Order: sequence, then C-alpha cells, then structure tokens
Amino acid sequence: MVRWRGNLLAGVALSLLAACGSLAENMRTPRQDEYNDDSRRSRVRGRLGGEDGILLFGTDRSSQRGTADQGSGIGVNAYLWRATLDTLSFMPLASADPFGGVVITDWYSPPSTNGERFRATAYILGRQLRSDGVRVVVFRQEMRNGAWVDVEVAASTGSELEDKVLARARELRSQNASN
Amino acid sequence: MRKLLLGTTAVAAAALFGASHASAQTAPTVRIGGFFEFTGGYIDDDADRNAVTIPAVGTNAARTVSRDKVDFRSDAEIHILVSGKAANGLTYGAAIELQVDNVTNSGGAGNGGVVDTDEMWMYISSPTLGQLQLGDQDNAADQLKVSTPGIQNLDQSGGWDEFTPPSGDGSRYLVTGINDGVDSTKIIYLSPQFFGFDFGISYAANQSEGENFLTPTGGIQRDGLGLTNEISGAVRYRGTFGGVGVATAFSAMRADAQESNGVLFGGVPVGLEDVTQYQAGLNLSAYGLTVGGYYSWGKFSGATRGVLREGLDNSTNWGAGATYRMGAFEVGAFFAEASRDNGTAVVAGAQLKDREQQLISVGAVYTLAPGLEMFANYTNIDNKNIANNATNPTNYASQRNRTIDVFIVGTRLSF
Repeated sequence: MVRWRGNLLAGVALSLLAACGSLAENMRTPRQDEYNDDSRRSRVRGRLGGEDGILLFGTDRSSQRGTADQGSGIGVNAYLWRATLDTLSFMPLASADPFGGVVITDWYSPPSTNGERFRATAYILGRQLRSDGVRVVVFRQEMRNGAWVDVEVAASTGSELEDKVLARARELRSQNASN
Repeated sequence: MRKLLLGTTAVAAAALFGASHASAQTAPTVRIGGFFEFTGGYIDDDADRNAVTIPAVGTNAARTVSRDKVDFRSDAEIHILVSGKAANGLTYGAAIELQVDNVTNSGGAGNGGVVDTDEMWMYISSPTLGQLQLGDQDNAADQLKVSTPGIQNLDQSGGWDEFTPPSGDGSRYLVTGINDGVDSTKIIYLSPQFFGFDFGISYAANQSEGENFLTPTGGIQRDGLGLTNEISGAVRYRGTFGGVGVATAFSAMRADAQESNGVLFGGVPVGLEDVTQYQAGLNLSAYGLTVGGYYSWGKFSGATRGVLREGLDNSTNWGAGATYRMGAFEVGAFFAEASRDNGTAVVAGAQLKDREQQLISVGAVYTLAPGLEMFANYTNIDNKNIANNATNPTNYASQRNRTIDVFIVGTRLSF
C-alpha cells in the first residue's frame, strides 16, 4: 500500500512537472493589438510610413526586432549571415562582406588529407529568410607533382553546405522566436 | 585576418542581439499617431420628412421642410503613445488620445473645434503576470469580447449612425456589443494567455472620467448620482483546429444604479434596477473568410448601459455576419437586432410592444496603401415601437416606426 502510494505520488509529481513544462510552452503575453480597440485609428490596416506612429523621442528598438528577418544593420538576412559564418567557420576566413552578402574562405587542408585543399565562397542573396537565399560554391585542388591543380568538385558538396547553412539559420530563428 | 574575423563576428553579434528580445532596459519612446477621416453620406430617413420648422416672418407663415439627403463629415484624433521597458523585464507605456468630436459643445463654439480626451491610460505589463491598465480605458469585458466580424466603418454602431438624428427615446443605435464602460476611470487586469485562454477583470468606482473632481452641476463624482461600482470581466479562447481559427469569449459586467427615488410610472415612484449585461460570441476564420456572431442580454436600457426601471424585462442584442479578404479588398455583411421592453402600459387602447431595431448592412474596403483605406457601405435600419423615454416608456413618440437607408463612402488614413 505504501509503495503503491509512493508510486502514485511520484506519478503525480512527474505529471505536474510535465504540466509545468507544457505550461511554459503554452503561455504567452498577448500583444497590445490583440485586444478590441474601438479607436477609429486602430481599425485601419497598417500605418502610413510603416511604423505605429511617428517617433518623436527615443530610439526605436522594436522596429529593429521587427525587421530582424530583413537583417538589422547589415545588408542581407541576419540569420543567413550568421549561419553562413557558423557553417564555414571550420575553414579560415579570407573575406566577409556583410553588406554585399559574400563570404570567401581561404584554402583549407583537412588534417587527414594533406594532398588536397578546399576553398568556399558563399553568397547570401537577399534580405528574406528563404531556402534559395544562400548559394555556396566549393573549389578543390590536389597536390600533383609539387603543384596545386584544380579538381572538379561534386555538385552535391555545395548544396550540402547550403543545407547546413539553412538548418543553422532555422535554428537561430527559432531560438530568437522563443526568447 | 583576425581583425576581419572579429569585425564580422561583431556585426553578426550586433545583428543577433538586435534581433533578440533581450530583457535589458530600453529607454522609453514617445510617438505621435492619429487618424483623419472624410465621409460622404446619402441618407433617406423617415424622421427627416418635415423635420425642420422654418419660423414665420411677417405675413409668411411658419412651415416645415425636410432635411437634405446628402452630407459630408470629417473626423480626426491625435494620439500620444509612450512605451518603454524596465531592466527587470516589465514593459510600460501610456496612450493619450485627443479627439475632435465635431459636435456642438457646451462652450458654444458649435463648430466642433474643441479638442478633448478620448481614452487616456497607462499600462505596466509583466511577461509572466499579465498586464495592469490604469485610466480612462475600455473595460475588460469590451477588450476581450467577441462580436460580429466587421470591416472599416461597417459596424452596428459606427459609420451610418453619424448621419442620423436620435429617435424619440434618445438613441440613434441600439444594437451594440457589451458596453465598454464609456471610458470611466478604472483599473483593468488582463492575464497572460494559457493554452489559448486569457481573461480580464476591471473595476470603476463611478462613471466619471478624467481628472473631473467637481462635476458641472457643482457636486463631486463620489456623490453617486451616476453608475457606481462597475465591475466587468471576460474569458476568451483563441486557437486553431484543422486550419480554422476559433475565437470565442464570454463577457459580463454589472454596476450599481445611481442613487435616486426612482422614476414616476403611472403616477407611482418605481425603483431603478442595477445594470447587468452579458455577452457570448464566436468567430470562425479560414482562407480569408470570417463568420461569427454574438448574443448579449441583461438589465440595461438604451444603447449601452442605461438603467432599467423595475418591472421591465431584460434587453437583448444579437448579430451575425461575415467578412472576406482578398488581398487589398475586404467585403463584409451583417444582420443585427436589438429588443427593449416597453413595459405593460396601455396607450390608446393597446399595450406597448417591444422597442426593436434591425440592421442589415453590406460594404467593402480597399486598402490603397498601408494606413490609407477607402470604404463604401449601405445600411438599412428598421426601428419599431419607439417610445418617448428609455427608462419610463409610457407612451410613443410621434414617430413610432422609422426606416432609414444610409449609403456612405469615404476614406480614412492612420499614422
């Protein structure tokens, strides 16, 4: 009987813990515009100028949040930009232009294969977070007779890296959304 | 290279920090917003016929003429909006709304040139504990209610009524959702949303608003000569089932009637009932289409939250409608009906029937640019059994029944 009761209590405790986790996931603070507003101003879709009112004083942080997908402070999508840097970070970086959206790595030889080296160029194509928003081109050279010679690279290599960039961008986006 | 790496990392980090909802303190911002609206109306109203008396001059006898059928109106508000975030994560702000009601005012200007406050209130919001609103703001029942879906200026009590004079009982419109507390100064709590549910509750000590300590008649607002102890609340659910958005709410309010010795009915004083109103509403939306409606009932008179005298039945309002959005176009239509008990008095050999108002409305809105819309709609209003007074309807006004057709077209910009 005591054991049965102990199991029951443990079960209830686990359920409560699960419910707590679930509660946190299913709780949010409604935005101001989720309540009925009888004001004639509020019934118009959108605002002239794109922002909710004309800023008189202070610095508008919310609009930076609102335009995160379009990349705040840089010329291309912030998530794709950061994801590209993260994904190509195993290679030395030669050039990175956050406004044009170009990341160029230096040559890199994997420790296991000293006779070949790789170089990658990534292009972030716009301000939107979308699956065709990044393009990665990989170059490969092999050491032959004491000189580096260009060798063809499988087309899938670039697209695999693009997939990794997109996966990382999604991860960053979801982390941000949950904050 | 190291500098380049550091530099790019800093750019990326700045982008990410900018993108995150960091709980760091944010200096408040002050914004100015508002709207301007121009509307033209064509009005065909029974009550307009021979409604204007032209006084006699010399040998020219007095005569009556009908009102014009065409009118223009303009309306505007300026809003001052403050918002900020404290270091502990609390967000706070205020909204001060200045309106031009465009009506003759007690100051005598008569040109609508006097500016006064509409809503004005402040809020403090916690990410986990909900939001506290303080000031002249709509009550919790209204903020969380679910009513008939509508579009710009296609409303039970908006748009058409601006062009019509009141009926004999003092009302232009009767059909509305649960009353909003008419901006009386109050305290409102709105909860966070749990599993799609949220709730709210509000309290107003009396129906006065603003800093009004002395009333225009010389008393003070604690005299109890208006409604007191108004409490309202609502529970709302919003969710999605198989791609269909569901919003439903139950709202309720009550208030003590003003201190009085009642009203004379049949020569005998009759007491006033405390005000109650309840509303249940449901909206379903999918693929740009929203359909829904509400039913509201309680002990209230007139359009919003007037008192009923004892012995009158509950008042009821209900409405059902639909809206459909296709890109920049939005169309909508609704039917709504209000019923008020006229009591059991016998006038001219017949018992008074219930006062009723029915609305049929259809319209469209086109968004020219974000914040700039054009609208056009048509409303048919059918009034029946209009009595002379909402509290003490002992006889009919001269205009028992009244039919109105209103067509409006206009534009509104918001900034």
